[in-house]
Amino acid sequence: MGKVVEIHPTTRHEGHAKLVLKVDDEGIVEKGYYLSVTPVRGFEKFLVGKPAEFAPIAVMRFCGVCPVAHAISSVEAIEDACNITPPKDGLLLRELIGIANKMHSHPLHQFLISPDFVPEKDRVEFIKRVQKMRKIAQYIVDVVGGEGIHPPNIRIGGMAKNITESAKTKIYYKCKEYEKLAKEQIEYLVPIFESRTLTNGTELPEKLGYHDFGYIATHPTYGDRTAIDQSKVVEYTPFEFYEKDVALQASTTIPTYNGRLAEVGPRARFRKFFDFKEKGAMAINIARAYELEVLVKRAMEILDELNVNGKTLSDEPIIGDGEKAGLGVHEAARGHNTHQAAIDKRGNIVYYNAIVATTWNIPVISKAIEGSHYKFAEYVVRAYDPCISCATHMIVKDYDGRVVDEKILK
Amino acid sequence: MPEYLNKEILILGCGNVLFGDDGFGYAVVNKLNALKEKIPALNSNKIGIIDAGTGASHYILSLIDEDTPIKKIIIIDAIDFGLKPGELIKLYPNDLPKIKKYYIDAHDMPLAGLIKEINEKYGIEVVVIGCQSKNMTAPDICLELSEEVKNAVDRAVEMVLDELLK
Repeated sequence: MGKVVEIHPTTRHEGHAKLVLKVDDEGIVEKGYYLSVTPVRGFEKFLVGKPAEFAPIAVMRFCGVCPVAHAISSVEAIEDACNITPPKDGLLLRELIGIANKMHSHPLHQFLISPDFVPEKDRVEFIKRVQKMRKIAQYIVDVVGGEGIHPPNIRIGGMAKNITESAKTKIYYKCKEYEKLAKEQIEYLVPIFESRTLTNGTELPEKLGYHDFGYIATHPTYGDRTAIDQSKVVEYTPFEFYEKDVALQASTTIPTYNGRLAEVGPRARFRKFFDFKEKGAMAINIARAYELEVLVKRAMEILDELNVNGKTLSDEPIIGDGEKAGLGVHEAARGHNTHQAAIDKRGNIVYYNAIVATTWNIPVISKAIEGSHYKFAEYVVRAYDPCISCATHMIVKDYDGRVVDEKILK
Repeated sequence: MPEYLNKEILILGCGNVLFGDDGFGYAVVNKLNALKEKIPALNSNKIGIIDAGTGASHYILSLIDEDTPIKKIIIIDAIDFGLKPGELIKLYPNDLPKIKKYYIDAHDMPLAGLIKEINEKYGIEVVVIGCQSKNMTAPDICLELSEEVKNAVDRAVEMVLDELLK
């Protein structure tokens, strides 16, 4: 007969989502749906009519976790629309801040999945290492971006400021420290992921999370709009893709490249640039761990290349023809993140569209959980480090003014 | 560690400027930054004034540990306590709820729990300056504060200065 298993909320990833699983009598998932249940925010519509400079400021508020990634995609899209070429040192700094964002985000994800994979006896040491890495990465975002959370230095045309020689030295020194920590993290985590063993001793199925869809990655550490043909990207509504009862609950589009679903993120980057052939959920965790080292190495290369006296911001005017949809591509922590913008002759936005990394991965996750027992679905979901959207927190008191509660606007 | 973790006092404006009165914290932080030149108490290397948006728990509070020299954190945020719109209230760690956290992710870190933890574990003084909101528009976008909440910005600035001069 089979039945439907719903898991809501799914836990220890970013944002609000649910799993709807149609399973057979043995509990094997025949049809899997991983759905975002966060309301549509409509950023693309309200940006229209606003000055181009407002876009990076607004999109940094998409999410409390990835302000840097969205700001970079946004400024890149507007630069493409307005034919602006940022100076080399501006681009280097922008790549550096994007890398630092990933150097922070990956260890955070590893912390979130640590109850699954890191035995109790190692937990404290593991979390200490994660925290050291997060602090270093966030230091770089703070210094290069001018502020840690909504870095104001990420500007259309480059970066608002260069860094000083002494900041460069400090960042380099901290990267050396990070490199050491990254190596420890890789040596510790990769054997655990390869053994596919949970802390409770359960072995995950070898083919957990296998799929035959495509992979999209444009650059190992930054993003490259010339490496993708955006005309081959088609976005479907949930109603064109899911059964009606499921589609009604879903709030994201389903993008395809060349008519196929595609995975984005660390494994996609590793397949493309590092000849990494592994499949399945564990391979994503492995690629993410290895990527720590790739990222910090590139950060040090950037520092070597960077001229701290170089110009970082273009002074070309921010105006477009009102028609060309510029494309901004950034390889964010969770993968290929694209924004598109058209700017008119007065410098205002006439069109905006964003396909964020997890939008690509949501339908892939849905399919990747099929064929395995439903109790393993959560490990597939978390391997993708999905980031659905943010919630607004409020502290609430009742009318007697005594009982206090937390309210979350979803 | 990030420079802002090396301060003695952190002033965090929380909330999302895109959702109406949720932008209250941002408005206060903006005002404080504008007053820096005039008010010496604000213009100190020991004070960090941050537009923390929705990332305070994720990028700041969860990174605090025994190495952090922070002594005091002033959080400015919109609240919904059933008060008159624009009414301001000070909250201390003991006023915050004991939330049984049902799940944890970086978007959904238990703010009250984190505040209590850093207060108890590291002896950091925390005060929340809350402003009763009128229009929390999420998921709809509104870049304006309501009149009542806008009028509370100056008073909140005074409350922050009082806290600094304590």
